[in-house]
Amino acid sequence: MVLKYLIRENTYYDSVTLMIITREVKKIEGVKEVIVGMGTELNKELAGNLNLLASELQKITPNDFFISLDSIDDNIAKKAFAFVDELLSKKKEESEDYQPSTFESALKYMPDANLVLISLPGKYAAREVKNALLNDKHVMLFSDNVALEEEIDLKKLAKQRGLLMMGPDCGTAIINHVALAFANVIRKGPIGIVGASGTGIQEVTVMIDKLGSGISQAIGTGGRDLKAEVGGVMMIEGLKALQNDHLTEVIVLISKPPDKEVARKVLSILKEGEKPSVVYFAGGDPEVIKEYGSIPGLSLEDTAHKAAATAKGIPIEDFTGFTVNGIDKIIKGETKKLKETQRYIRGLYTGGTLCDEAMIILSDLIGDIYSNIPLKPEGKLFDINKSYRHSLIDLGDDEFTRGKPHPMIDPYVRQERILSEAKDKETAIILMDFVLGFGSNPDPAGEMVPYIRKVGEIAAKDGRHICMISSVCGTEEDPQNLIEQEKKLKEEGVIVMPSNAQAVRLAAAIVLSRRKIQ
Amino acid sequence: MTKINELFQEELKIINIGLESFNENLKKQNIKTVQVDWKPPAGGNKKMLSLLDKLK
Amino acid sequence: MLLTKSIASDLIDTLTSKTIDGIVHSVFDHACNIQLDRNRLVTLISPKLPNYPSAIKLDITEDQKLCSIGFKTGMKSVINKDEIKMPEVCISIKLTGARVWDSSPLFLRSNISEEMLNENIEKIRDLTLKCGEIEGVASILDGNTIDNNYKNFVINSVKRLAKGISDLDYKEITEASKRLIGLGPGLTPAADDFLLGILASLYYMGYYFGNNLENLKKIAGFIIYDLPGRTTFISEIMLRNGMKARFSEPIRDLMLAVIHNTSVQDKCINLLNIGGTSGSDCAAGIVFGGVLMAKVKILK
Repeated sequence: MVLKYLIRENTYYDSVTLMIITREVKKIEGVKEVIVGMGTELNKELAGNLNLLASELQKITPNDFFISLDSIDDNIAKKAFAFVDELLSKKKEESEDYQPSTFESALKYMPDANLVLISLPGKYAAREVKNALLNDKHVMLFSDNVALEEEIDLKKLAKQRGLLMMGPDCGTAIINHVALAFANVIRKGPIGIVGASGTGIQEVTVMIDKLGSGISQAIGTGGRDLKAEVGGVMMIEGLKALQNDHLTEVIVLISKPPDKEVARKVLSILKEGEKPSVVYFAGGDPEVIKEYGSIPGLSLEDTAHKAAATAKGIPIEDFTGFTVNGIDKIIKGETKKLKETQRYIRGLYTGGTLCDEAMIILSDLIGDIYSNIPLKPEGKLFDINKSYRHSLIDLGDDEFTRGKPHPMIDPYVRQERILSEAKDKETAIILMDFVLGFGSNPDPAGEMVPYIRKVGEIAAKDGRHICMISSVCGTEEDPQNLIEQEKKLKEEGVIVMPSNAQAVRLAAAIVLSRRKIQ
Repeated sequence: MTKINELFQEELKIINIGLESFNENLKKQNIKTVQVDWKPPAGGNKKMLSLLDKLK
Repeated sequence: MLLTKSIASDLIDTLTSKTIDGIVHSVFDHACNIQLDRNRLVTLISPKLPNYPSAIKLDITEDQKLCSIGFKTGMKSVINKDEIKMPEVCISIKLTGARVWDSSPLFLRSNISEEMLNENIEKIRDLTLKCGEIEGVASILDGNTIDNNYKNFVINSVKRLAKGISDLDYKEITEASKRLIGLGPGLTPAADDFLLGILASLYYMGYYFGNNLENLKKIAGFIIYDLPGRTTFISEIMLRNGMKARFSEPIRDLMLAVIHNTSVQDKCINLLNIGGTSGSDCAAGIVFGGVLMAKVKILK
């Protein structure tokens, strides 16, 4: 039994600190008893009752702070006091960083919290979501690998309580202009978005910003929301909220191909409102959308163009071209540089929806595309680590990210893959997306630069030139700064296009141009 | 006004459970946030977990 | 030059045209205590905190920390009704133009039933046990499962205090309180916060049952009779204010919610979030005092 004490005369610590100290010291293994407090008569008496009253403590006054503890040995006592010292001096500089260990204690600490952002492993996530919803908090669920049944139940609960439940697998949202998880810094404006796709939201919001317009809200629903079983619950709640939001004048919906019934349900609710809407259901039928009075978007970029035009009150046109000057010259120039063996496009994507969009555009223009997430089952790559003919790879898909960080954060997988594409003599064009914003790598372009150079070296060895085309999904206000990122890529000879759609169309144009020559 | 529309009028105050980088990014945007130092309840033991839930 | 948002009304006598000296007693993130003499305190607070008696709320942003403005323990301060000066760091706080926050109690007749009143008190008990910090004295609310040193120490004194108030035995009240003042962790020791809660219920519930305010004040006076030297300076001032039925906004709001049956849950949560255990200890006192007053009703 080792008794140790600490006295700080005329020193006052705020209550939360004292509470944390008491709690944490009690947790230290080997500490039998501890008393923390001011040197009042009664505290001293209590300490005496607990055999914690060293004689020096008897002299202290109510305005002196003391800690007295009993531990099993001297080392533990030293450890405990070192810890206390650290906590007490830390208080001098930084008072935040109290990390509660449960949702309940976090709620006590911040009872007026209004949103809970959950990115736990899938099997634990549902429980925390339920907790949050039962406490009347909105939820953003980044986690994937959450069971479909759980999603259905949780969204039911959320709807019942009138709360947002964004997810599971919701990687992007912008609420009240705050970027949540992976999202960009976008200008404020009248366009409100509900999306079942993270990078889809990113590309559209970024484009809206580039066009000089802005957004009111960007609500994520998670990838499965528009499946038959889930029924589009969150998309509907989200769009209703936008219909009632006085700052939203135009509504945009973004999703992968939805279940047909769900699509109609969503579109009819959209129709009931008075605000104009633009809808991008990837690969969906534009006629159905028109039937319900909404404007179909033909690509993410086109969707953004139409939304911005609607907000400005100017006529809407389909945008399927280029906004870059001298595009013909670029196409001709690149085509000339390619050797006969070089025929194929290799897309190395970090954003799933961007990869999807690319595949949709390319299959229309140049034919079959192979992938790890193909449009048709016949397009599935035999070995996802080896490209075949025209291949577009979603490096963020589960098969690539098991046990590894996402390629938007860690470029390693793409760095390796780009070198194997460079070695393949049939590679003509390498397409890449660079996604900026909060959550992403602090320097996506910079990370790839050395590898882009290496690609050039590998190709040059046998007199090849590989055409590199990219688009950067970001804004100037993003932490990585759009202009800086584009500059880095351009300096390496990468052709930087203003959008994913244009980058893809350029790649297609070069391939088509080559076919003409041959 | 629905709760979602109310949220649109409020200052965001966030409880972050999971990746610390999300918390850091929110702080960079000057958002009030608290990071939960989460550990699997019941030491990750699934049976214990369901028992705990029943007690609630 | 800093501006002021509001000044507690009980400082009116302290802040006159005559200039007085004070010394900074303690500085925290959101509060800075300035001691004027043995019996007088002025607390500068950030807008992040609710209103308190003897407090001056500064017009700064919520995330601005008072410790980073330059206030430090031991610093000299010069105060009058127009401004507060800290000559050592050239800080000057303008008081003119500030609103007044009325820290006096709000006694209004209520029509709610006794049943409702008791229900509201029970709501506070439940919430405190569920969401509060029970490492202080608040553990006393729980009958069986929780056991800590403070609970065991106070339980008899609390029983004695209840009997003293019920029998109007002044000696019992004083002796029992003497065994509570200054006990527990915290800058305002847990038992002091508990007593503050009892005082709040004594006044507000006492008024509901038709007791004469003078009688209630008498009992309050006996509860803190032996106060001097038994606890921290800050807590002494807090209890003195409580004796005069002057409570912080969260305490007053909760009592009003209980008596008039408005949002008890919200106001309770606001109180529970104060300090480390302070809010919970006070809530426990409110429950304890509430149950007691519901039994006793009229004090003879």
